[in-house]
This record gives sequence, structure tokens and C-alpha cells, in this order.
Amino acid sequence: MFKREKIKVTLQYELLLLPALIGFVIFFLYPSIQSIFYSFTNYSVNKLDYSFVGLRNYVNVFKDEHVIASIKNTVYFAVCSTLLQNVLAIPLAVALNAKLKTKFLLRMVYFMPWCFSGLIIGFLWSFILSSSDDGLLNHLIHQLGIGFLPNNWLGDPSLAMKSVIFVAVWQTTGWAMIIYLANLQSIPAELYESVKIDGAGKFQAFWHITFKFLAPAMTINVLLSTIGGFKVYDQILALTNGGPGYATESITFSIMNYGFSENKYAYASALSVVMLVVILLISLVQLRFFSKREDNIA
Amino acid sequence: MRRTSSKSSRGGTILLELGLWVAALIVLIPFYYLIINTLKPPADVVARPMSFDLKSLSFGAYTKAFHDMKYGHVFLNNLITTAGAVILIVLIGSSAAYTLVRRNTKFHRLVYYLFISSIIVPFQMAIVPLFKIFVKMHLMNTLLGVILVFVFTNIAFVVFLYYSFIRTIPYQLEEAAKIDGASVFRTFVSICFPLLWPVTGTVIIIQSVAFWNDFFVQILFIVSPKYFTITRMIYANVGIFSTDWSALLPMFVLGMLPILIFYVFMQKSIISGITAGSVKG
Repeated sequence: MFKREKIKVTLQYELLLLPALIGFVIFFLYPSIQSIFYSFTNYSVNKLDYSFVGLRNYVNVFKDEHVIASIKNTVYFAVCSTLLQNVLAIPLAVALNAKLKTKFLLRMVYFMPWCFSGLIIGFLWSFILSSSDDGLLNHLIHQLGIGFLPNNWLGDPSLAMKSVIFVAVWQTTGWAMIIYLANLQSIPAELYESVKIDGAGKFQAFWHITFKFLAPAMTINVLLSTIGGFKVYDQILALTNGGPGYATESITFSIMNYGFSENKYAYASALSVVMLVVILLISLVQLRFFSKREDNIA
Repeated sequence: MRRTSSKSSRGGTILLELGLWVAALIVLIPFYYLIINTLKPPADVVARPMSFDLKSLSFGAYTKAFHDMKYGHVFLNNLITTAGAVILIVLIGSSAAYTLVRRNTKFHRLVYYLFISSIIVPFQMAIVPLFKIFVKMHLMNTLLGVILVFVFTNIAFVVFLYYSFIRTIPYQLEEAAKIDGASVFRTFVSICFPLLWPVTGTVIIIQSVAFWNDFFVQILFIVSPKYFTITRMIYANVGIFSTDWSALLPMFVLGMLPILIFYVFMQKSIISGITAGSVKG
């Protein structure tokens, strides 16, 4: 009797876990593992059976100029947007932590772009940066008489990626700022008083206290922004559709292209594994580096 | 010690505030540009993008856009997928985390590590095989399919958030109920779940914004316009209207409006939710 009761309790517990576990396995874990498996085969939608080809897909990935370009683009995008976002967000957070009359309104304004869909924001900016004279930015450049500035913001291969990064930074800096603000509020005020007594200036106080104590927020911001940067798709699709040529294509563009347009399942799977490995490596290196910085706060 | 507010530092503060508003223009101008160009006759959109004349104010572009993007319909699809996925992820995620905390066996620890280590795995890893699974399960081109992908590609993170919180709830709170003969399910629903509100709030906010704005899942699994959501419809319409800006800009405004209203009213909870979610994540 007692034992039966115990089994009943166990069953009830497992029933609460089951929906999450089953769904997770079917819709995420199993397909992810299948991707790894397919990446070592020549599987494709057109064939009925497939065979193992060892590392051939991976070798091909690194021979494929188009794919290498997309990996380079993605790394460039992730690194630059993360760097700029944090360089801008820290001073912004420090400034908005001061006793300002309109600080809440200002925070609201800076954070707002983050809430909107990356696709719609991308389209909006594609109109603003349009290479035609009707594009807002070019219109302004003409009116201000500074026509010597470049104007093919999204069509020039050397400018397009920079424009894409600008839009990403424009949209996400407010988000990083919010994380820094929360961190700033946890820095004890006495620390500032003590360095003031030591005769340190504002800049020194910032460098020795603020910057150092923002380490936890920096870890989160850098990590999440880099991982997000590696997955980028919607914004670029709306802004440049990967162009000109493939100057702004990210890894996701390549996966979509080979997986769905050309039906090279195995090859696309190998690409997604490469994507995972790159994300894992970079996150590990960053975690190592930044957790050391966090340890230094004592 | 109180900070001495001398005249010069007050002047500095005003200057700082002014500077911040000038910088804020970089955020505001694109929205200003967007809105004024939806309120004037189409010909002026191309000819004079930055000018705005109250005399020629017209809402005609909005009635057209509302109709062209079948706004009511796509809005409803957005609402169904977002609300459905958020409700499901809260229920399934919290109950799974509850079991993982209260049943501390080897198997449960393994499941927990499986969940958290998958957080870093990009969704791109799953999409090619998932496509096949969707075809097999007849989930292609259904709102249910979209909801399921939303829920189970984000469940690991949600379980993680709930797990860390439930661990701080003392078991003694539940013991009394257990002794009274309440089932595990009853105990969870009536005692534990109400205490989880801080996490539930965070999950609702973060996931609502993410699901509402999603485009990637839509482009992968939705083909028929009948099931288009707002972003998917806007993408399709950019293809159709291509350079007709006066037709497209109001669609962008209509696309952003629901989230803007949500933001204005829920601003504080959004910001605290984002902070709580990422500090733990």
C-alpha cells in the first residue's frame, strides 16, 4: 500500500516533466543531433538512400569561397557590432545614471529600438540609406552641401557591411545600456567617496571603480551580443538581402541557401555544425577572459 | 556625505542632459521620418522626404495599408502564435523545472544539464532535419507548428530561469500540503506556482517580444498567406510593392504599433524583465 503511494507520487512528478522533455527532444535535440549525423553523409532530398562520406562535407566547406566569405562576414559583424555596442553603451549608462531631470524619458528613448522587429527596422533603414537620391540620408547630404561624402551606403561592397553593423548597433545599444545601468546601481557609493578622498579625478574614478565593477554586465553583454551576432539574419535580409554580391551574407544565409534552395541537406548540416563549433569556441574564450575580470573584483 | 552641488556642476549636468537629447535624435529621427511620410500625399514622399505640412495631412495611406496587408487577419495570427506559445512555455517550463528541482536523481540531473547545455546551441542546427519532421507530422504551414517551434527552441532557457528560482523556495512550504494528502500536481499549482510570479513575469515579457517579432520561423515553415503574421506579410509586401515607399511606410508603422503600445504601457516591467532574464542567463 505504502509502496504504491510512492510510485504514484513518482509518476505524478514525471508527468510534470514529460511535456517539456518530449517536445524538446522531438523539436530540438533530435533534429540537432541528426544534423551532426547528416554532416558526415551525402544525404540529400533527391536521393532515396545515402552513404557516409567522412569529412568530405567539411573539407568542401573550407574550399567553398562563398561559404568562407559568409563565415568571415559573420565573424566581422559579430565582433564589430559587439565592440561598438559596448563602447557606446557604457558611457551612455554612466551618463543616464546621473541625476538628470529627464533620465527616465531618455532611457525610454534609447531602449525603444530594441523592442521592434529586426526585419521592420532593417527595411526602415534600407529606405533611409537607399542609394537613390530620394534616400533620406543622401537627401540630407545634398541639402547640407556635403556631396563629397559617399552615398551608396548599401550598394558599395566596402560600405555595405559597415552600414549593416551601424543599424545593428543602433538597434541594440539601448539594450546593453539597460544591463549596464542595472549593474551600476549595485556599485557601492562608498567606493567613490574613498577614491575622492585619495584625490582621484572623475576619470580615474571611472577607470578604477566603474569600469572594473561593470565586469559582470560586460560578460553578459559581450557574450549575448556575440552569440546573437553569429545568428544574424532578419536585419541583413531586409537591408541588403546579403548583397551586393555576397558582401553581407551571414552563415545563416548559406545554411538557408544550401539547405532549402539547393537541397544539399548534408552540406547545410555540416555548415550548421561549423556554426555551432565557432559559437562554442568564442563563448568559451570570452567566458574564460571575462570571468577572470570578474574574479578581480574583490 | 552629500554631494555639493555647486553652480558649475549644475551647469555641467544641464549640458550633459542637452547632449544626451541631441544624441537621442539619432534614435528619434528615423521614426520621425517614418511617421511624417505616412501622413502626406504619396507624391511628396519621394519629392520632399523631410518636410511636413499640416495642411496636407492625410490618413489615406493607412486605410490602404490596413487593407493591403490584411491587418486584422495577420494581427490575429500574431496574437494566436504569441499568446499560445507564451502560455504553453510558462506552463510546461515551470512544471518541468519543478520536477527537476524536487526530484534530485541522477536522471533528473542529466536532463537538467542537457537543457542548460543546449541553450548555446543555435536554432540553425535543427532547421534542416526539423523541416523533414514538420512535413512528416503535417505541421508545415500551420500556426500550431509555429507555436511548437517557438516553445521548444526556447524551453531550455525558460526551464533554467524557473529552476534557479524554485531552488530558493523551501520545501517546508509544500510539506504541509503533502501531509494533508494533496497530490503533486495540486501542490505545484496551488502552492509553488503562485510564488514563481517574478520569473513568470520575466518569461512572459522576454518571450512575448521575441515571439511577436519573429520572422525566421515564419519564413521557414509558413507558405500560405492565410497563416502569415505581421512580419511575414511585410516581407511579402516589400516584394510586391518594391519601391512604392508611400505604400510600404504605413505598413511598417502598423507593424510596429502593437509593440510600441506594449512598450509604452509595460516599460518598467520590460526593462526589469530584460535585466532579470539576462543577469541570470
